[in-house]
Amino acid sequence: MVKYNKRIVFVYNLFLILFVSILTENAMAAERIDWKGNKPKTGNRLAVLEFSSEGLSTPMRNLITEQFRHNIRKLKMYDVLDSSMTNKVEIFYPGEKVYGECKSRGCIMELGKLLKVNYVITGTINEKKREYFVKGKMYSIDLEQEIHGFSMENVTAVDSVRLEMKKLAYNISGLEVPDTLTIDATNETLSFNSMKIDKKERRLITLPNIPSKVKSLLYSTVVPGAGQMYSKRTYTGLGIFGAEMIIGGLALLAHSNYQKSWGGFQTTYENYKKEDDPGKLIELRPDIIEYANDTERYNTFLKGLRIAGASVWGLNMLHAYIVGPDDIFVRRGDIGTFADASSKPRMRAWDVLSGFGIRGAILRPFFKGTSLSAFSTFTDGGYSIVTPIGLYFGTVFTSLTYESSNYSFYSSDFEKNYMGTSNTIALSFDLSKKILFGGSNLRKYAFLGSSSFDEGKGYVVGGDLVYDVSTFPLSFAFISRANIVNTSITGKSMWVTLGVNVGLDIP
Amino acid sequence: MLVLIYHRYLQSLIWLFIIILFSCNDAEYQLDNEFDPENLGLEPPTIFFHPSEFDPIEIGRKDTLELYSYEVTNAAGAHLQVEFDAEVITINAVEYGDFFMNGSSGPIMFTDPSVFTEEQNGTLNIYLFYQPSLSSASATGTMSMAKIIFTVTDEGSAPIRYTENTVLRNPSNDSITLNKFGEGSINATQ
Repeated sequence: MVKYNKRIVFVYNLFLILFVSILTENAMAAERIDWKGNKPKTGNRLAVLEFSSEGLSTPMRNLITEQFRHNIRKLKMYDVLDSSMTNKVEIFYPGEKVYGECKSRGCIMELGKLLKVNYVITGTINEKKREYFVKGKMYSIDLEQEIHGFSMENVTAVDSVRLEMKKLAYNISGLEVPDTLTIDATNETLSFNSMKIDKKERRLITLPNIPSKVKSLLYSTVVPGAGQMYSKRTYTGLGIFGAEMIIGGLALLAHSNYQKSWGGFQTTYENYKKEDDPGKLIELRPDIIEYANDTERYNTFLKGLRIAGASVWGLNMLHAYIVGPDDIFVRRGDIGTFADASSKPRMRAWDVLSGFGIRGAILRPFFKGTSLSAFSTFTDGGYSIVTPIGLYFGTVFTSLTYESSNYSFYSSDFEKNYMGTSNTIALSFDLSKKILFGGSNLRKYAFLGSSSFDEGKGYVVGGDLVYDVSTFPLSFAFISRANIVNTSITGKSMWVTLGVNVGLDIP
Repeated sequence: MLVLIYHRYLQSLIWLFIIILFSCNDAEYQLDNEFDPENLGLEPPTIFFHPSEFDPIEIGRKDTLELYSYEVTNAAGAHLQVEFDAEVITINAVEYGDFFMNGSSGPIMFTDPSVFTEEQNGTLNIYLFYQPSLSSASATGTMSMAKIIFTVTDEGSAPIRYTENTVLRNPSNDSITLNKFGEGSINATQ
């Protein structure tokens, strides 16, 4: 049995405690909060996010939100952020039910930090059978948690909602609600903890939730650019869609030319194989070679377009997946409009060119007169330059336009053709204010011009339906043209073309 | 109904996507027609027989042989001297072709012999003269100058060729330089 001296044990323990305390001193210091110099501070800046709503008009929703802000501001307990400041930051956070909304805790915290506020209030106003339901939460950004929840149920009039919102403002500000405000009140303000849990709808078949990134990818796979639009990259989406449309238009044009060459090749080659007259054979030979070369050229171009189209499509899919809602996207401030750009006081070249525009078109005759009945039609290309040079006739602005377009008609044996380019100086009548359908984004034009064809002179009449892509200076149009021409080959001829064009306007 | 009306345009739209995805066929061809002068191994300008070789012709049957120019330019007249095997074929007639035609005016043509009997010495001379007008004084191109209608009289292979005396002349009566002439052959069977 070993006997220990009590004094030695005491001294040993003392040294052990001292040693351990020396070793752990630094670690302890790191975890310690120094309350003296860094008292937890929290300000009183508050942002009230726009309430989301169901069954309520947007202006009404905005009005209620704004009045709520105003009520809290009036109580002077919080420094309430102005609506314009609040809405200046748009945040796209993953996991939101509706991409672009900010309802989840993570998103609200992120938004609060971006807005540099201490508190954020968010909520919803729903209307069902003339009864209003308001739910909301108040978050502390500093503490990174919800600190208050509120809800109102069965409020039966909009005015009552507004009154209840006033009371809520008192409640949130931590003030007693004055009695004068309780008149006609039929609500009950509940604490967050006592809020009812919504009954979940029962579904027979439950489909797995598709992640937003995959949704974005799927949309862009089906329609190029659609995923980007879903991910709030509207201009990128439109750009991709426009690029694919342009590639498609060029492909259509190249294919039309290919068909002409292929038809010519097949006919001449068949003739060559059957022919026994050396004189005719010697004439057919260069035609075959030319048609074959043209066919190869257009086919090579088509292959190039196929690669370009597929590349754009593939990149669009990849891009759609990357920008899909899985990362935080923040848009700060207003990007401005093109109208703002043109309101600069100094005159620049841009201003001089303002109002001019260029359009690339593909057209195909869908109706032709008897003189051309033996000919087949093909798709051709063209372009036009629109100018701001014009006059107002009442509300109809009439402007000068130049248009150049190709036309080609081939006989079924490809031995005869009627082709060339028409150059038209025309007046474009803007009938948008006279014909109101389609709204302000759909411009309606009548077109009347004098044309110079390769074989003679003529007239062109038609109409355009131009769709403007928001504030972007891009437009898509559906166009029709009736061409009346007197030529030495076919005599008096006419044909009507339909087409589409993509336009770029200088704002 | 609407689908039917817009069927063609719908089809065009479908084509558009197909075009983007797939390209079309390249034109594949072989310019190997046996009557194509370029396949006769000749260098233009020259003259040749068409056809240069006949399928076997039965004795007693008639056929036509054409005397062709091949990318000859500015020809106002021609002396075509042709050698043939008089034991195998007998020439019945000679007609002018399109080469020396000036619009609707045919050429002036003489032949030697002028009358074709059964007794032939194996040489045929054809003289052709373009009839000029104010707008045109000569002929150019690849066309038939004359047609020889013959009858096969005996079995065998009868070569037919242009002699060295064959000459084409321009409006100034200068002879036109021609490359090696084409040759022909007639096969006769029982």
